[in-house]
Amino acid sequence: MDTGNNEFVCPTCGADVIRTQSTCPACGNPLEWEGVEPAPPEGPPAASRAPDVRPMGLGDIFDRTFRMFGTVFTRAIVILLILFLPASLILMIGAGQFYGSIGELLPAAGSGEAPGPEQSLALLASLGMFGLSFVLAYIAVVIGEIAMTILVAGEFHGTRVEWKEAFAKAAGIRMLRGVAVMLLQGIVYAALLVVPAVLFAVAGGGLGAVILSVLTALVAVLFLFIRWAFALTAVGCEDTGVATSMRRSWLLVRNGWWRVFGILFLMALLVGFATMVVTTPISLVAFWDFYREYFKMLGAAGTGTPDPTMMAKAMSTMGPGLGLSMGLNLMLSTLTRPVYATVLFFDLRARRGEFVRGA
Amino acid sequence: MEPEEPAGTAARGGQPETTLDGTWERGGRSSGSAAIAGLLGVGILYFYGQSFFLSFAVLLSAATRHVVADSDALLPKMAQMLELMKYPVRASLILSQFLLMLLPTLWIVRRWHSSGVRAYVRFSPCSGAEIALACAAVLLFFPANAFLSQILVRELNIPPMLLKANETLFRADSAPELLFVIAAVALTPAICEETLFRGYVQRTLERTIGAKSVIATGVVFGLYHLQPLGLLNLSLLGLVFGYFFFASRSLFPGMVAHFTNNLVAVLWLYAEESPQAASLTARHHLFPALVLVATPLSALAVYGFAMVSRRRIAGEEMSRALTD
Repeated sequence: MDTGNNEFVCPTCGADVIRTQSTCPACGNPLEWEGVEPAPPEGPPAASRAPDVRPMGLGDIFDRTFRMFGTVFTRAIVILLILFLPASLILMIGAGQFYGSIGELLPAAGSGEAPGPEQSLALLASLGMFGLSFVLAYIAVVIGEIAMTILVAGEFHGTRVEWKEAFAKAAGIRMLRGVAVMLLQGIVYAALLVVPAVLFAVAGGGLGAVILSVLTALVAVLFLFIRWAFALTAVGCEDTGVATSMRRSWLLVRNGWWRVFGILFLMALLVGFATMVVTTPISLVAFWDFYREYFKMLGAAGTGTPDPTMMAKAMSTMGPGLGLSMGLNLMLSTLTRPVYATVLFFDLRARRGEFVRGA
Repeated sequence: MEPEEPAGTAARGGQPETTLDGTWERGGRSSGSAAIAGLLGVGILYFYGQSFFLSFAVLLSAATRHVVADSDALLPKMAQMLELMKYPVRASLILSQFLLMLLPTLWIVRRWHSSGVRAYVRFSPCSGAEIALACAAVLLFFPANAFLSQILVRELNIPPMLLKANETLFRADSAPELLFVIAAVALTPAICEETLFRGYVQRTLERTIGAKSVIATGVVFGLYHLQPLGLLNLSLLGLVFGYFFFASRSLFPGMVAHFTNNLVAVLWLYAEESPQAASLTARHHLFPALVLVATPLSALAVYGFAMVSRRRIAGEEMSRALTD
């Protein structure tokens, strides 16, 4: 049952097993290891290898996540403020310029005039700036996620990792690996969604065939998304390369796709709802100028139709608020997602029997 | 941070012990985690479920009633739509609060924490004086609340027509409709929201962080309404309701205070429709003076409430000690 590369499969159900396990975690079949001495699983260095983690139920995963969140909160906030204060500022400037350019174009568009070359160029430049600011914010997300993962993984190993250490580790080679993992996944998802649809469209398959291909691709994307959900966590926890991290996540989820999907979906719902609740009042402050202009426009319109000039002014005040709101949402997502992902990562490892009980 | 109650029993003040025999307690998990998970879980169920009920009710209403838009302008059209939708919205509010907020909360308490649900959420009696003082405190706080709202409305240039349209759900044109509005807007939230926020969330957080649970739940209560303009007012009210719950060890004073606050808002809007009251509500310049007089009196009522509660609880403790 040796598949090479220190991986074994259960002779009964074919699930992945490792040499420290006495029974198969998938089917419960007793495992016999003739002539094979139990060997430690792959993982972090021996000094911090043996966390006392057991397979967790849903309630335990929630509990561990919330407790872990409380434990690392102060260090996490320091890291995320360092990353997201400048990122939000850049997003505010980028979005501000973009929406400002749109605001300048609106009155002309309302009167049916075509925009001049200078206005078009300014709009394109501001769009490029907005896009660039988004890329920078995304890099901040990757660094933040890896740093958070390092903090949480440290707690599992019984080691308190300080924010400086986590930040330094996350901002090095792991960041490049993290960006590569996310890029690779993004390319695969985009290819799955776009290529078949384009091929069907070119072959004259009609709208129905294109829609069907996109829907099928969405199912495939969802399947891959869950199988690779812990690739970035593996980069943060185990400092593995791009392919190894993706393979690691792939194997961890192998026998529990529906369970992982359910837990990740539930966690995303909870976090999304909590983020909405927290950011609603902050959005009021972020969009204060926009709301003032918007309500002024509505009041001036009365029972008539809104004035395009006032609408343009309202639109031009929207950018900074939108940038701030985006930055805040990204920060809150980076604060929460790695915590539950890392807890689930350790649960999946425990289910594979990677931790010796009571060690 | 105060030590957390272990699984087994929980008692505070003059209250009988609550048996902590639920699955969460037996698993030795944190009560703080339970409060957050329960709050978010019920929140998701309520908000998304309410959207479903609302969509269903509006579609049903639209199918049975002929809708004609008199105007192309945005605000009159919005007012007309809200007027048409007010009954389905109120009905879906009642339904979703009871089915998707109250029932899941009670289920969570029973499943996770205790088979003694009534004791856990402190569905326990209090004195008439406490009820009267709780009512007085929120009545006297009402001018300050309205004044804060007015400042925000003025600063944001919100047009009166939009405000009027927004009030449609809370405004009644007849006495029977007034009763329906009171049931939907005052009675239902007083029962369901108080059971979730005070009876479950604050009660469960209290076991970990003690009196700080009043502040945490008050702020969460404000945030949960997803009304940025009402955040300050709602959080302040949440703090007051939470303090009543904490000081009296009973859910009733907060429930009655919540009901009173919402009832006054509904009656205020109802009275605005009558010519006599219209002249009164037009005198908005009187508000600052009224706020200056009423708010300290409100604080005095809260203080009186704390004194009365303390005396009642001490008496109950003494009588229990004598019985034992």
